[in-house]
Amino acid sequence: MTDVTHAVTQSTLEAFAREFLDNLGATIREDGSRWHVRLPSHADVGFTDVHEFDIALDSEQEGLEDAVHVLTPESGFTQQLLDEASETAPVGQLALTEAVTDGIYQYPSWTRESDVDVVDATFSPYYDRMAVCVFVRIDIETVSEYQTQFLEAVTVDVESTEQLPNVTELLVDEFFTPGSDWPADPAEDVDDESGVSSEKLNTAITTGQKAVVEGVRDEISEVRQSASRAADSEFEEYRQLQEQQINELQDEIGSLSTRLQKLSTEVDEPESPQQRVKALEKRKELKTEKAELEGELEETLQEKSRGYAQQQREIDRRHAIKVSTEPKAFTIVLYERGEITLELATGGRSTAVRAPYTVGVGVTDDVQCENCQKQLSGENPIRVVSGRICCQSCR
Amino acid sequence: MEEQDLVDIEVTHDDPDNLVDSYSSGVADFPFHRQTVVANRLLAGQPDTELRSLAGVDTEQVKLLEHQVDAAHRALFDMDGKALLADEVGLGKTIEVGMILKEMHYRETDGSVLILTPAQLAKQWQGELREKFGLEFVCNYDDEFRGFNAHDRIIASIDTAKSERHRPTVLAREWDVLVMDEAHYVKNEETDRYDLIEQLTYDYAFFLTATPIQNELTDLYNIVTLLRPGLFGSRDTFHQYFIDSSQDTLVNQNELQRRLGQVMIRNRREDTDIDFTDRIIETRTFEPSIGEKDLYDAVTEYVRGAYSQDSGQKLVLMLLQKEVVSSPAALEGTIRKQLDEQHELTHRDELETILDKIDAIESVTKQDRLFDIVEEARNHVEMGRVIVFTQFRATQRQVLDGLDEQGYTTHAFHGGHSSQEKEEIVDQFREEGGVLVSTDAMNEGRNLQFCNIMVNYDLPWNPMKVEQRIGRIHRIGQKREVYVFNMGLKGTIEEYVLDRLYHKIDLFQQTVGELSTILTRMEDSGQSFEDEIFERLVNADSEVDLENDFDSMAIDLGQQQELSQKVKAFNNGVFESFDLGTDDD
Repeated sequence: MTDVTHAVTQSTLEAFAREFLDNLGATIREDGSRWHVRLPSHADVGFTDVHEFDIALDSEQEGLEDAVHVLTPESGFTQQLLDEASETAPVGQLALTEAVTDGIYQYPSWTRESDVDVVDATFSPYYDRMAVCVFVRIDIETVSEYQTQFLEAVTVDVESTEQLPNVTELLVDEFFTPGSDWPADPAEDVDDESGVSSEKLNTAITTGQKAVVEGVRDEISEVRQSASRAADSEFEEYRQLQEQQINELQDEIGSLSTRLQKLSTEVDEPESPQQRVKALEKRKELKTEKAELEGELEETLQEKSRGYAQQQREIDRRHAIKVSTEPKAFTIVLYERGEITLELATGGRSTAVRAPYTVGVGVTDDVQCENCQKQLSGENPIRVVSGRICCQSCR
Repeated sequence: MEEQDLVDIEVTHDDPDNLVDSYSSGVADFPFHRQTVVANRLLAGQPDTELRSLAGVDTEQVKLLEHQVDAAHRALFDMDGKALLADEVGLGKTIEVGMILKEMHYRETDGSVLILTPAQLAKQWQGELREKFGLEFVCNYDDEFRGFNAHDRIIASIDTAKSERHRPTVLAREWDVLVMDEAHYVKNEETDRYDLIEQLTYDYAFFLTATPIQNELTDLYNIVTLLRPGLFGSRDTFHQYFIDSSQDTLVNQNELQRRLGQVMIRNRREDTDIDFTDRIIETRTFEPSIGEKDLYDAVTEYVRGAYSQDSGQKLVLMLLQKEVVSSPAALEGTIRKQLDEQHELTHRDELETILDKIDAIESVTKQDRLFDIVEEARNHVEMGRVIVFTQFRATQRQVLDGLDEQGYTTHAFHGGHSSQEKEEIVDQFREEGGVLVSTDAMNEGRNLQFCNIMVNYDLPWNPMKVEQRIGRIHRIGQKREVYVFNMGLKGTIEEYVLDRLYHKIDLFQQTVGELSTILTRMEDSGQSFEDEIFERLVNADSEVDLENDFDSMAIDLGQQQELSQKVKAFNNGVFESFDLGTDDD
């Protein structure tokens, strides 16, 4: 999975807005930091109901009329534009063909780390595969930190549900980078017949959703650490509060005891019968009060002896992290699998080696040394000795 | 930190069905799809601590002020969604909460929201959140309200929530967001209200009050402790540390400020750039015609007699008394209804006599005098815009007919219109000018600052309603002086209410929101303003008696007002040296 959040800079925004308006068929007349925009009559957008308006690229412009839309990273218009565009076409498709990769192949590590040069490469497609590149929003929420959001992309083969990280990176770089050109007609080679069932689509997307959570594991862990610290300090506040209350209750009970002792003297040695009755009444009242406080103290002390476990559970529960994923868009990707033939040259000699290859992915399977059958790798790169292919490990 | 000491993680995955369905209904052209993906990348690239929903606020409906945006931002991101919003009266605390809730809605962190308010403000909250922020809430006074476990966004009076009937369901739920208006309602830890809030389970909470301290500093302790238990330690510790008990003054102010700064936001009027324009009040009382006087006396006599025999009829009798000063048309409807509905009516003769007296009235004094005001407006104000308020539909019809006959442009606004129609009516009034005759169904959210003249054709006996009427045009954003004309008939209850009560408490000059603090105090002690007026009217033996009764009510009101001013001054005093602004993080 790939982090695909993209910073909102002025130049990115301008490129985005230009493309948005182009797609609508608008004409833009530029006049310094103002765009005079005219929309075609059929265009229907949420941010305006007029077909001619101005966009200012700088909110500091003097005499900015109310009707002018300000396009800056913080502006409301930008938010509206992005909100509207983010929901227009969540489903798309394209074909990853050699044309897209422009004949540039991803060589395996066992040639990159080798002394031999790849002088030529040809790809023979055998069959098409289908994958889904899904863009997933991840929200991490906890009560101590309002909300953190990410957008991750992951590509999943619809048959095998295998993840294809190289494809994701290729797609994001080549097709979905703001302000960049992209290969023309990427969906041209997608056969209308090549549909995918809702069930498989559903499975692939769900697989992607689960996978992206792994991709933000570090971030989740960081939020979890800070949420746990917040829960800890809330619990500590609670514990201290209880400690203070225990002391206060003990003080109050102590003072009641002293008062009760004094009253006992009044009861035992009254100056008058009335005083005795009064003292008895007061003693009853204070005894009840003392019993209540003792009950309260007992309860708190019991809680304390249990380490305030219930309160701690409650606080921890409230501070628990909620991670939710929402697929925002996906692209159906048709990609070719086949075989690549690599022409290798060293010391004036050349020879060829073949390997299973997928456009956008690279060499897909392990390749063994023809000579010793050891697996080729970056650590065990290929060699050509007297026109014969062997590997680093071959003697 | 060890794994076992860490809080739990709960992961949920939204169902992709909607997206999958989009695929079934067709794949978009690639350029549009690219645009959608790129837009999502950029949205995700915005800082996490930004109010993203601001762009979605309809600036036609609400003008957001800097201090409000700032408060909403701080409450959410600096105070982690637990804040005491303690702006001075009239600075728009409701707007601040509206923004917070809108943002939470945008970010989908508001699964369940409970807003607790004093009973008389519940509907107003509902209207404001709907009109200004597009947020739909069910109010416990709505017919569709099915209990606290049946809806996810509820506005309810705190007393309904704490009632035996509802309390178990309110407490059984885990609310995502709790909002409590007039949070000083829970200043006393020994009340059921306090107990309810203390036992409620919620993730985020926003408490509102202009006067966190009502009587003593412990009030502040209690309110803050509900939001952040333990922030101030135990009650005794708080007292020992922050209050010099011998002097009853504050000590360790810096520490108190530091702790309060973690949870409380207080904007002061002088720190904002709000400039309220002047309000000019003109009360015009008119001598009723002989016929009108005759009718008024007959109705009053009837009401007194009938009430002494059967106090169960109070509501309808109160209505008659209000209608007789509003218009003969309003009165006629209720009298006829009484006659039609109750065949064995004991007072049939009296009611029929009243009908005869209504018939005898040829011209309605108030209506004639209204033309003077409207005509003045037509000559002096842009597009002659005037809003005329009445409590009754029948009066509204009569006034509209009269104005139409005179050739004025008129617009009618009442509760029978749909929201869409109401919007259109206000738009037409703005564009065409003329006279808008409205009942009190014109709710809080309506934006009518483009008009600056208002007529109280009749006067509600509830001063909050009068304030709400004035608040429709005299609010943040009004650029001109506001003229309020009160119309009343001499020698009637209206004159008493106007002269003895409303002018005594300076009702017409109260700052927006200030009145509720006076009335909340009064109604909190179980008195209803309308009942008080009615009881005095029907129980007075003579005119002198009536005058004395109204005077004593005015004194009560004056005392409440003084108390509320003292509380306000006390709060200002306590917080004066506090800098609870944006830079004290």
